[in-house]
Amino acid sequence: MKKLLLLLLSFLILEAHAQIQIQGKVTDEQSSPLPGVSVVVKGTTTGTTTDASGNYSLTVPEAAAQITYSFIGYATATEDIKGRTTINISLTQESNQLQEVVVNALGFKTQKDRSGSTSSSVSASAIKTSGEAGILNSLAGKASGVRIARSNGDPGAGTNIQIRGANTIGGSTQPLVIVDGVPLSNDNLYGSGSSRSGGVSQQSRLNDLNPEDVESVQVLKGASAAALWGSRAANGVLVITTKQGKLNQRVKISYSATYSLDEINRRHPMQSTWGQGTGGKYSPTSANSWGDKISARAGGADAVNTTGEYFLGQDGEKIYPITTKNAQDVYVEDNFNQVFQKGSYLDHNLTISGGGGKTTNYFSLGYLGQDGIVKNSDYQRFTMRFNNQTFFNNYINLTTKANYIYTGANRIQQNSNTAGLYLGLLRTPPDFNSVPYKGTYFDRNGVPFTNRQRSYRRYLGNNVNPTYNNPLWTTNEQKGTTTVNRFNANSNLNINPVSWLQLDLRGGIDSYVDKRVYFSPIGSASFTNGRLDNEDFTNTEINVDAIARADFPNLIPDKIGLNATLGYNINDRNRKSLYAATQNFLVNSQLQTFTNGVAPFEVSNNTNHVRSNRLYGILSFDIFKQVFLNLSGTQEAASTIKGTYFYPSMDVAWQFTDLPNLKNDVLSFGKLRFAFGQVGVQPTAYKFGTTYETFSYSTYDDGLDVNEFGGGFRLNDDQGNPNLKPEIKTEFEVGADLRFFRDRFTLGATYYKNEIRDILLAVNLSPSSGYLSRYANAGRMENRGLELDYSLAVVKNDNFTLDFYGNFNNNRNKVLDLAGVDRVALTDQSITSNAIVGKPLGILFGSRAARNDDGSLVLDANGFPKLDPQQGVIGNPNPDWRGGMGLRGTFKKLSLNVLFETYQGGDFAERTRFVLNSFGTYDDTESEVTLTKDLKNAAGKVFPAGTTVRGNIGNYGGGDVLLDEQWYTTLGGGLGGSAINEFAINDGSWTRLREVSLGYSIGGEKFRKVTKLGSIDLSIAGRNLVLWTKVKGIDPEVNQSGVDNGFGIEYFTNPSTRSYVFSVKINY
Amino acid sequence: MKNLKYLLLSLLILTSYGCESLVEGINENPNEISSDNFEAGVLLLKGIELANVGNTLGHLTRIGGMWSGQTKGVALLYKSIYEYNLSAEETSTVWEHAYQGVVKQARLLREHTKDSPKAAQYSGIAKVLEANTMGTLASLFGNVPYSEISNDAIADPKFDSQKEVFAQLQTLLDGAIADLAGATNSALPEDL
Repeated sequence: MKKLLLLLLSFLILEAHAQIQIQGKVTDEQSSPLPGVSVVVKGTTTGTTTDASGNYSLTVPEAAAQITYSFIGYATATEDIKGRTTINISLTQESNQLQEVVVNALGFKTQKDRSGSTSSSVSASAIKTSGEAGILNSLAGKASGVRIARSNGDPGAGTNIQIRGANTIGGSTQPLVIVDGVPLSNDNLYGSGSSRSGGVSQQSRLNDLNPEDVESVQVLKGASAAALWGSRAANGVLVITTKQGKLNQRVKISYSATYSLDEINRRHPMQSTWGQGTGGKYSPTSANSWGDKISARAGGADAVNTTGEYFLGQDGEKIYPITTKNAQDVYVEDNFNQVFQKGSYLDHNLTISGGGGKTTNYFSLGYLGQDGIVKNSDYQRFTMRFNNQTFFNNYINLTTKANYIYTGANRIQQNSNTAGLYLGLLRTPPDFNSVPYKGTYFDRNGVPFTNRQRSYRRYLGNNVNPTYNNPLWTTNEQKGTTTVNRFNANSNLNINPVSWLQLDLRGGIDSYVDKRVYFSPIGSASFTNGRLDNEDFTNTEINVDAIARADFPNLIPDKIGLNATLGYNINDRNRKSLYAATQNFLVNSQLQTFTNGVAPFEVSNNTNHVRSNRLYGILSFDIFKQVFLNLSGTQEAASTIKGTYFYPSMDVAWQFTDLPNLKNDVLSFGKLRFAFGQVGVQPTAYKFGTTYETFSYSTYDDGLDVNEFGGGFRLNDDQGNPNLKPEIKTEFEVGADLRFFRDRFTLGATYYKNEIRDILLAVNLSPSSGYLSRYANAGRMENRGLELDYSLAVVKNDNFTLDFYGNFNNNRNKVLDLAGVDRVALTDQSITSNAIVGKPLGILFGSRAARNDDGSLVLDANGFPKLDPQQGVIGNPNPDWRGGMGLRGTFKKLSLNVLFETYQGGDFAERTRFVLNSFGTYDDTESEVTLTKDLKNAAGKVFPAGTTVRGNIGNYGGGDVLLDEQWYTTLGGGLGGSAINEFAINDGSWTRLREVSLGYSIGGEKFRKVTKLGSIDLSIAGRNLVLWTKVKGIDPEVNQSGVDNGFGIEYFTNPSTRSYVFSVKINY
Repeated sequence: MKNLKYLLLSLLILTSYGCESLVEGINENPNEISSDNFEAGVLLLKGIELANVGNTLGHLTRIGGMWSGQTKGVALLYKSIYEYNLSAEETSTVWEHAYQGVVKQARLLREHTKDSPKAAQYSGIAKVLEANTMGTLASLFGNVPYSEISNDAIADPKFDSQKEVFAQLQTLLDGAIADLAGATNSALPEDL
């Protein structure tokens, strides 16, 4: 690095033989001045750049013949001097992809064709037309090797992003997000108040960003492109640029309103034939729906006992103990409609942008209010942004971007959680009416108990514990709110002392406070005495860069050009959290106050502070304008790592079609590229030493919390490790970018292979060692795959264009080493997602059927499978390949976009379905069969031919057997590891119509004269309109554990949505 | 030009300030008590007792009750277990409680309190709890690791035969009797 500085310094001593002064103005096609255009005497290093008004003044040697004008995004122009002293010139914008501009990891614009590493861009219009409320979801299906999966359809639910497969096992798999050159937190915090396996969906903080403000999103996939961010870049980098005004541009005002109508996109099919009970007999308190046949009942009203206890519902309904069940009513639809609705959002955006001679401004206000498909789930986002750039003089300009965001939401409990929505709703028998859900229970002496919950297992509300929540209680009485106030701002001081040098001093702060409240009133499932959790997060990230860039386009005139960057960065992240909870209310009240709580209170606070600093440099050579070589190095020290680490990268691009005679009518452009890079993952903070901790012990649903016994400590079950290193990912990629038939067909292909060493994970230890786990650099994993992106312009004329486009990726991940540990579980339920040596990350593990050596099932005497006492691998959720395919068309002012996305070959654990088969509520258990021969059920009971029984006929290799209640409630369905969970795994492949949008723009000169408006844009769009999959009751894109390394499992996870989006935008 | 030189120079100075000094000390854990300065070993006692209580009165007791015909599993998980479908998942917490929750902490307690005036009483209690837990575990599972456990140098302690474990526990209990006999015993607020 010091050498580089010397090199820079040596260029300071320049010789000048000034003889002629040339001045002039550079403008674009609309005659707006272009600042920052490089003006160079051809074949020399003499040059300057234009000022804010597009003016330049240059002293050139007398002998100089030509001047070249170059600016990113515009065609380079060369003018003969011919003795002139004033040369005004207008540059034309490069519309073809030859000059496609990409923003690099430092936020600077570079030319895509000169890059040796791959990146994918998503434009502002592609983000807006998608009609998604959050920016992350709008990227789905648009870039090869980038997987975007919304964790469920809850408003504001977090989104999982994965670039080129999993790049770490224990750490976060989410890419680093850089907005305008500064990191922006994309936290998805679970915290103490809600768990991944059972709780509410948490948000991805990047979705705070208003999509309206976004100019472009670039996905830097390869390690070489991301290496400048050292130990934070292993998962790739999302580079986002926000909108800015333009100099000398008249004010542009636009207002847009978008309305989206959302509905559930896949429902669990429920049976409506069989009543509550077991063994074919009705019971109004049974957990299961293996009762009598509803249509066989007498009909009419139930016979009830009105002499004793009863329940008085909130609307005056009286419920008495049932003595004989006569009613044939089923409530499957009613119960569903009590808690589900058509969701919607309305999104308003007002933007004002423009610029004078020395300043540009962009201002926006946005408000989005959303009601989810589950009643009382909602999301609001208010954003305000002000971006300004001021050119103080020809040498100094300052860009400042300030953004305030408020988000608020109420989330509904879900997943493995007796207070969750789907758990209570879907276990409810078809003949149980969820209304009334709340009221007063009177015991046989007439003593009232107010505000009791009535659930299907406590239909009289005669016990304060409902076992499972009535779903209406979950939506109406429980709260899970979050409010976020966020401010982020950054300033970039750009100093341009001489034409070839630019200095940038950049500082940014991103700070948010997230206040969460979880409230369950007295009488809630899991929290019979009520519960209140308050959790506050205060997160601040400060980032400072000092960057020097030197440009020598003619280092050796007409042969070699060099662009050198040297920078230094300090990044400081500090998060503090405060958590308090009580689960004993004194008074039955909706008040969310701790004054209503009784000790013991759970209180904890937590600090997480990480700081790193880096020195980095880039040398970019262009050789004969044909070969482009980038070398970069980053030296980094971080607080969580002992010592400093160096992250090198190299990429080279060769535009081989610039060779003489290679370009022809078929091949219009060809580039070969090769890249190598190293990036890392930082260890979690505070893992150096073994600490003492508080804890609770539970063997099965019987927790003993030490705090409830007066407090105490134990030596942490996680052993400390003072020798932590970063995980290092080393990646190679080779690829080609080809364009055929005058750029009509473009193809980008990349093969990449990476290996991640020293993967940090909590390695399970034998409990007998005295510890349960140790955080260590233990793992090794690899990814390899092919990425393809293509586009084909079928029709291209002034009135009509039609493009096909698509992408493909077949990432193969393999865990190579786990330091002798058999398995690292990424999730914590009966079916887990895991790291297992030799298998791809995420592999599903759980209880399975015993098998013979030849793979066939071991059968018992009745012809049924047996439980293998050893659990094992039962599925692989990773796809064989994924892809997107779409078409884009315009006809005059009409535009159309259609996008399909597919995910092929991944397994999916349908645990809801499997468990509900045990409860007897899923439609798998609805059918009745009339036997044509004698069949045995799982208990060996023989059902003679001719009998009609509830169940299905199955065959496990030993002949037909009867799958009835006996099977579904033991090994063939149900909870825990004592059912054969292997049978819950299904093919999770899917294909969906991700996006359809149709837009129409009204505008033009006549329109302007009449209305004084620039244009009006109208659009309608559909999201997720069609889904093809074998998974029966839910969109297989959902994930129980949310934004997580583990995936491919759902368990009473809230459903996903499809949307119809209408939008109007008025431009002044 | 001069200004530029100063700028570059100051950048150089800025960057040559050791990368590492800027991040030093930040990784000291502010949230949990470090083992370097943990003195009150008796605070471990409640946890040891709770882990032992969990094992002797929890899941396995319920399962034992079902399999010995005293109780019945009628629904969901316990119905399946009642029908002798038991997966390894159901017993792993019991092993964790025994080794990490009881034995590891009991030995630490003895170590931490060896200079305490009540050292003999603490030691006696810790030994009894260890013997009780390990005795339960050996009774339930037969051969279990014991002689090499809670040793930082041994990652995977070997299994000892049930008989050997019982013999070692008898020795441990003899030690406990000696400790308790020689101690001036008094009620401990940390003892549940």
